[in-house]
Amino acid sequence: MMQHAVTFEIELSRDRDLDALRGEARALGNPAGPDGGPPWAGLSGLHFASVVVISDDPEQTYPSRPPGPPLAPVLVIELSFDGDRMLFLNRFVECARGVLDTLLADAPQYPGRTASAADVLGFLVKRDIGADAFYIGAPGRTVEQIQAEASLRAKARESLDPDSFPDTREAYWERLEERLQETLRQLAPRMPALPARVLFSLRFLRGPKRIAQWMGFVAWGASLVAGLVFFGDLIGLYSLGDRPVGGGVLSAVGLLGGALWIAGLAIAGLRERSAHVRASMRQQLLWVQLRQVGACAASVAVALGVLHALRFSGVLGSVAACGLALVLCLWAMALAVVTGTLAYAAGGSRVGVSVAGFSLAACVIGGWTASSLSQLTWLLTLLSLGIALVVGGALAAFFYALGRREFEESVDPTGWDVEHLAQMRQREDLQYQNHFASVTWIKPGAFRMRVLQAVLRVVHVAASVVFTLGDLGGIASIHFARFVILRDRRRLLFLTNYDGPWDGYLDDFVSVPGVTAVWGNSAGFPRPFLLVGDGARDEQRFKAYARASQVETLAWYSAYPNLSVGDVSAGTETRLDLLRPVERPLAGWRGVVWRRLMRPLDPAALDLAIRRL
Amino acid sequence: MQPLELENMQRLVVQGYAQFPYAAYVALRVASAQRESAGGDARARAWLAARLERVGGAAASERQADRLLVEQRRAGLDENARHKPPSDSGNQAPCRLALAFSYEGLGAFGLPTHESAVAAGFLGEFRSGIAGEGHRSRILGDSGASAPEHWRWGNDAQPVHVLLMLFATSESEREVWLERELASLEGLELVDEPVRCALAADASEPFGFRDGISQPIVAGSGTSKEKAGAALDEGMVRAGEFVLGYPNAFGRLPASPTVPERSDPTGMLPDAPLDRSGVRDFGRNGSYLVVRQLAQDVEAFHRHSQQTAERQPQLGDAREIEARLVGRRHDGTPLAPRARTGRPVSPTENRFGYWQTDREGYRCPVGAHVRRSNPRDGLANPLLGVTPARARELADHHRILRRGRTYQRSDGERGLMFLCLQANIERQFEFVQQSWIRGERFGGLQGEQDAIVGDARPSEGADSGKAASGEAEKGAAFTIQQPFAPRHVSGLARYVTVKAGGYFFLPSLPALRYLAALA
Repeated sequence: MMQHAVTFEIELSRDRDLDALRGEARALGNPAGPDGGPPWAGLSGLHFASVVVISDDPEQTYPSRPPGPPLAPVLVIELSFDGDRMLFLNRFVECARGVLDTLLADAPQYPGRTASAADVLGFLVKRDIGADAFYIGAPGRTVEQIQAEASLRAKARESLDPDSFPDTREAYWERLEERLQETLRQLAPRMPALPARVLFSLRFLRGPKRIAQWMGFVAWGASLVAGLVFFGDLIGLYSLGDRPVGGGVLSAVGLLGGALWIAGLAIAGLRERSAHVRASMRQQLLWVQLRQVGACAASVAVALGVLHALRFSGVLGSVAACGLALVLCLWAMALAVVTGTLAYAAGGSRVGVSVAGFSLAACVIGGWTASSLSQLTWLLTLLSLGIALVVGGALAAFFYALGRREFEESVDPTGWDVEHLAQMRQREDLQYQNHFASVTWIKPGAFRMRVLQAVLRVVHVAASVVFTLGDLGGIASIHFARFVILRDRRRLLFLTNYDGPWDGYLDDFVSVPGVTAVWGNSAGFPRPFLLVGDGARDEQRFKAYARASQVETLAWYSAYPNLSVGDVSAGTETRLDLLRPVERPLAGWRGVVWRRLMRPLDPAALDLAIRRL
Repeated sequence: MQPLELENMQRLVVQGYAQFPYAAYVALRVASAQRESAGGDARARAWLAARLERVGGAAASERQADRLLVEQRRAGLDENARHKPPSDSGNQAPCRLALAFSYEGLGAFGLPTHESAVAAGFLGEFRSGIAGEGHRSRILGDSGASAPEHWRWGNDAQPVHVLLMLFATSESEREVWLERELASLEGLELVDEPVRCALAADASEPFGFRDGISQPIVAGSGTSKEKAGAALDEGMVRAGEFVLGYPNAFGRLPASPTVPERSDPTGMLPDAPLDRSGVRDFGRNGSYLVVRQLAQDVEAFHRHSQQTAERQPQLGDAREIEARLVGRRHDGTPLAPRARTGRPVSPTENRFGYWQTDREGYRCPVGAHVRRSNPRDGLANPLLGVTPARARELADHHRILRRGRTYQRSDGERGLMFLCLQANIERQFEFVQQSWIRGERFGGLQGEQDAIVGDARPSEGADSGKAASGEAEKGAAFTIQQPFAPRHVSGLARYVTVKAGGYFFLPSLPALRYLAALA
């Protein structure tokens, strides 16, 4: 079951007494606690909820507010929940009716106390602005499951007894399983199976680095196929009596390089997993270099091989090979962009950089290859060249416009308003999790709005497709976070439910380019460089800005306030480790594969499983 | 690398005054009724002006001269009997001062903090003070017996404006000079009895552990340590982490308070680093100083380890248990082995990490005091792309320069006068205290705090959130990691109580002169 985001933005009348309203909202509790009163307590499937009131002061100077007519105050309700949106909202209106009637008493068009639930639901649904970018730390896990897995993990931890362990880790693990059978049976019905997507990512993808590696594998596979095609071609040529010896050598080099590369990747992966192997820096460097050499050899060989093949084949072969070259070229381009970004996000991971470098090389060579084809494909080549020119020109124009704006736009000075700080911090760190709400003014003009929307789109897709393992490009402290452009199209709302202290959380943002790409479109933000550079890296100014843009979280609810994102993931993994005998979904050979994948078998993994408790 | 302007800094920034083993910390307040007014108090400024020449500077020549002076003095004391009257004249006096101001103190001395542009330049946490906010007390663990309302000074009832730190070569000299200082408090009043401190010969603190071994080496400080460190390319932290006016770990200049140009007609202060006109840089070469008087319950601490040793003999004897809680043996030897060799190390060893040799915490427990207060590369996480090198880099964003000394009161109370310097209190001292020392999830641990200075103890009553998670029953436990399953030391009490404290600014020498000359 997947989680969804609802963000109600409800306009209030301008003469509403906001202090009184805030007082009423504060009565809901921040933090409300997992067994806190209405409206949250009765709402099963609710992960997080918050209420903030946003008012507009045209005189505001910090963070700077672009000139414009004053805006009416709005009340925002943030909900993150399991399952179907309308079903949940129905229940929400039921549970929260009294609260809504109080808070929205004189909101324009609010149906009022006497209206039917359907009318209120209709009113709310119209005001749901969702999320322009939504991130979930532990996607796919329901509230009930998270709580059950946490109690399983706690029980498992209690069952560890240092004085009565058997001789081997495996035996120890079996013992633990035995002891926990009863708990497992009790909890099993509350722990629904994970979506296949989540399972897959838990087992195969481990952060951007691993993704880069997987993409590397695929790239290598593609070059292998290309090499085989070329081999086939070669054999055909031999039978014709022609002897392109050079091509054979080239493709042999390519295969060898590819093999080296894949071996390097595999060994590096193994070394990483093993908790006990201590490779020296020199050895690690060697593997990286081997991989790079292999990658270069493979790419050169493939490209030249394709070219070679084309010289000896007919028109159809040319078209096919040209298509292949173009596909490779496009693939390499995408790979270069994605892995380059990921590598940047991961703080310059060597693997990512080398894959990106390889892809760029392949891209260039592929393009060159495609351009030296028979007459029939000249048109195609010219077309793609033209597209490349247009796209390149557009990109250059965009970055020029962006860079010029970035240079000219004003930046707020670093400063602290101690009263505002004290008020914002008042309800912080009362439990492990915290909530942060911020409203920033979007820089005026359509250009910035378009950039912001595009960036939010990218962040949203990346958050839901790539970062599904409990970290957002290395930030492992977010449960649910969202960016929403308010309906006035002038303000950007950021709501996040995070772990631990605020300062540490913001520290994570300093090294991740995504936040600058988003907030860099807000007035007064520390000066970005070409969208992702600088900005938040001006740590002190950035934090001061974030604090200044913070609005008070009046009410806040968390269903599991003392679990970290890491705890949630570890709970699931503990369950998967322990539940193997109970949960055996597949029989036959697929079951064997399943169990091998689900079950940590090597001592290092077992050690990890024990320590995860 | 930009060289440090040592000649403009107070010596405390680069050195802990090891040649002056006896110290006294005097909390003072501007007495006059007009301290609230905008102009500040002229008598207090006169008092400050009279002290300027004995404020220790950081210049290498001055440090060298003081070293010679101390040596001569020692030789002299050995030859002639002890009662040679201390010489009085400026530099020759065997006593050095350091001066730090609270935010109210700066205003009381006449810094125009009522101007919002001046006020906004100071760190928010410095302005609201260590005891001024419920949230701050919460994250620092200043509750129960450590709550600010029980403090001797530094709380709302006993605000401090200036902290006068006096360093002397012998106990008798300290007393003589302290008496003189107390007798000449023109315009100032004593907030509380001075805290008398000494550096123990074996550098040990009251619990019996050698203290002050691990210090970040400030790049460009020109100390012998720095030169050695530069050669080894290890443990260097950029100067801007501790002194304003230099690039910090992010390559940026830390925010520095400025004053209007008109308040500095003679140009004592340097220009502001940014192209901001009409202001001068008050903060350059200054530093933020956190002070906490930490009383230590030595008997209870030793009693607990003794009892634990009797109850759980498999953990070793009492000293062994204490060493596990701290992460170093009593003589200072780290429990974590040095990388590569894996051999044990010398007592003052500081070149080691945790990731390569002890990531599981089987030797030095993950929650040990030294590992919490400086995790080095121990928080690496390859799954998140945090390599050991990156982990060390991240940990270096939260380093502090410790300048603490042990104190003993006449009523028998013993403890540590904890002082630390940094450029960003929230990111450095407060982060270390909140996320590492008190972090209940530090390094993958569950619901425990530092065994030595942790404050969440059963007697204090667990907070509601913790109780809800059902993890409060075990109370203050400490986990000792072992293969297969960890062992736990339980029944830890609160051994350290905060008795006083404050956030101060340690101005540069020109800034001190500027303050004294304010009209």
